[in-house]
Amino acid sequence: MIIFRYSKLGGAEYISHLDTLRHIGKTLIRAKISVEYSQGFNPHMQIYLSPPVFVGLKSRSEYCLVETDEKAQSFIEKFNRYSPKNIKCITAFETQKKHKIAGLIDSAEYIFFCENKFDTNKILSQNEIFVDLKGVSKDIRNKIIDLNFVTDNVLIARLSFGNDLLRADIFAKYLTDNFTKVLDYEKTEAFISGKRPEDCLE
Amino acid sequence: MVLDEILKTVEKPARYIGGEYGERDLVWNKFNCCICFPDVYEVGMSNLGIRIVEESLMQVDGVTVDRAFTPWEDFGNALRENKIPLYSLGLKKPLKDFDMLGFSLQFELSYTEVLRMLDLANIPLLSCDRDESYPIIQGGGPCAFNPEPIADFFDLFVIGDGEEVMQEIAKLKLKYDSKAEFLQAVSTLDGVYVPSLMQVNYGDNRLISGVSGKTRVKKAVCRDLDSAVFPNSMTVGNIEAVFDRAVIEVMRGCPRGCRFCQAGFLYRPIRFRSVETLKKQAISLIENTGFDELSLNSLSTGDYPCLLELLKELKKSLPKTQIALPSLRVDSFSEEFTTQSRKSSLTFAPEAGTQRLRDVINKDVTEDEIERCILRAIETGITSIKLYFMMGLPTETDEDLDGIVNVVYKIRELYSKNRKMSKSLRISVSCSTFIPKPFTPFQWERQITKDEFEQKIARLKEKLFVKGVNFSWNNFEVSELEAVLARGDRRLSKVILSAYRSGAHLDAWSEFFKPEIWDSALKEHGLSASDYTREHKTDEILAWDFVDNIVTKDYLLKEKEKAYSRTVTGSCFNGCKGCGLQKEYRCKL
Ligand code: SF4
Repeated sequence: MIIFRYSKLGGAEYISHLDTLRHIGKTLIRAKISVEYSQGFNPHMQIYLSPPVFVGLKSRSEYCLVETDEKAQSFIEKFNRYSPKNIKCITAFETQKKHKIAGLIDSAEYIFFCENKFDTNKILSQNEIFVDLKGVSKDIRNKIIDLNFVTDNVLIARLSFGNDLLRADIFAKYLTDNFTKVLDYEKTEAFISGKRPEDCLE
Repeated sequence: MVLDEILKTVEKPARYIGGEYGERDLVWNKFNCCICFPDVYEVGMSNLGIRIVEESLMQVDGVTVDRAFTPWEDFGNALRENKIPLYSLGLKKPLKDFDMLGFSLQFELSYTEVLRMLDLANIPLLSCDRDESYPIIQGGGPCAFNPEPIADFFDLFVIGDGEEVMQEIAKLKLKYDSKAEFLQAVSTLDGVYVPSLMQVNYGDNRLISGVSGKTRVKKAVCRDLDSAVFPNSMTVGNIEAVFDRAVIEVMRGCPRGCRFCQAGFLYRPIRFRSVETLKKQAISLIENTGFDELSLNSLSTGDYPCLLELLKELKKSLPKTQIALPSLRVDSFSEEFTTQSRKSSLTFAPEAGTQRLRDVINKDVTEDEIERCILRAIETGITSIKLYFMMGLPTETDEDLDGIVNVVYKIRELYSKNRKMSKSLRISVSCSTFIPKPFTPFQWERQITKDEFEQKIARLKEKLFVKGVNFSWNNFEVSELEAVLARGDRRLSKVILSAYRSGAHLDAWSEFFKPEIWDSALKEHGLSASDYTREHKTDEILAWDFVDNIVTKDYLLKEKEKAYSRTVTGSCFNGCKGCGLQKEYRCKL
């Protein structure tokens, strides 16, 4: 089995989760990477994606598990030769276990490009932060794990993901409403208990 | 950045981003053409015609071809509010920058979308308001055979097969800078109609009294389909297309000659591709796209003479690919095909409920054949059957409507006697209203009125609203508008423009279609739907008479007479019927 990490940029961020799955499937067929199929009346490819991100989120850290005997290096080369222009494999590793990546990823890191720097302690020192989510006021404080400005405009944020998701667009709006205008953002890493999947899954 | 903000808020933003797998890397060229499809992305991405034209244009030196689809309402409004002109998907260039926009006209109800696309691109809608700085606006596809209702918006139309004549047009555009010179030059080609070079006069009786200028346009015909341009790859849509699969065209034209079917007459002569060519095209399409389904397209694929051989070859070369056979006729439905597919549903179109009416329309399929086919389907384990009928056909009586009910009841009876599955049978019956179309033997017929429509539906409802049967029908106003636009003349350009200005758009989508707008637009210009849905006299000048479809009017008249005397002509497979084409072309049957 292979777990690979891929990016959705340059427009591909607007391709939905289901369509992404469809494109990965077609890429594997074009690349002639042999993949296991499920049994039954309507067999489908054994491929599993990391949890869905909302349409429009640029990402460099999406993951996918494929049931195949292909070796990691040749997988990367073949995949990228046949994948859509803006869905590209960044890295891949072989694994023996059918990890349920959709359920494992629990936090993610993002880059927020901001108009101005501000003191992130103004956020991190609070005990609760209520924002309006479709008419319901919700506390998002414990979903904000870490915040760091690396330059005057670039904020790296670690936010909760998976079951306890804090969407990047909601956080961006919170920043814009209260601290600084967010110009753009993208998802850069995904973590399982603080580690990247390629560093912790075997 | 603004565009990004918009994309984040609209439905299915991947329709508007381009960058599809299989898309060529485009560069701005000497002649730049954008193929425009006046329906949404997922509908247009399934269209084979635009891909063929695209491929053929790309083969001309100095030519670049891009594409654009009509935006859904949300994206269109956002473009307008933010003053972003409609752009092409490949190069992301405003449509206004292209040398030519080629509209694919598949369906009369997309006419307002042509206007909306031009409008969103900031291009004047009327050809007389466009100077040299604007692109040439060209139309093609089945609706171009009667282009008169939209004549005021277009600079030229391609009538007939596009693959060869589009190349000639591109070459002439590279040669002539001036629009007038270019239009003059292309107007000499077979298949090219330049509306500004023909004038239409109307008499006191509101009928066409004559035409002047260049008054004859012969359709373009691609003589050798086997060697004709065909794309060896296709783009895979960012979102799933309506038909998300690879497509090959096994034949063009249809030997059946059903008297209501416009496509059957427009696409004559009958031409086939060889098994060898099709196999090559299929393999390369599947390899280049990764699709797991291949559709063998044509108007009547069951009539392709080498179908079994082709299926065998495809099974050998593409063992994992599902083969789809759309438009399979009842009588060509054989066991070999059913066992090929794992589908649990069967679709077919007897079109009329009684043998008498099927004879009238020259649909030569018998009660027996229908029964045999249903039996075979039941034996293979089919549990759902979709039936398509037409109502309002010439000479139709209540007895014919009852015939539809009888067919349905008969199928239920066959199923209960022969069922293989424990599941109960689901039958869906879909009835559309007959639309008289140009270039068919029924081109002079009238369309039924709303009152008649309601009576007929009521009669069918009474007997078809039963358990296990799902009866549906088309909206009358939609069929009426389609009839008006299909047989329309030039006066309708003003009507279409008024309807568009009053808010008509995305008419092909029921949630947007507003019949009141069309009603008042017709009235505003002193017209009514009945001017077009009425019976036409066989000696009156028809709006589309100037187009030479090569099938003669005499032949159509003879066919009309045979319809009324319930005489079946049968299929061209039993011998050439002398429709007129035989003088210039040879149908290889
Ligand atoms: S020329 Fe003859 S064989 Fe060909 S379409 Fe006409 S009637 Fe049929």
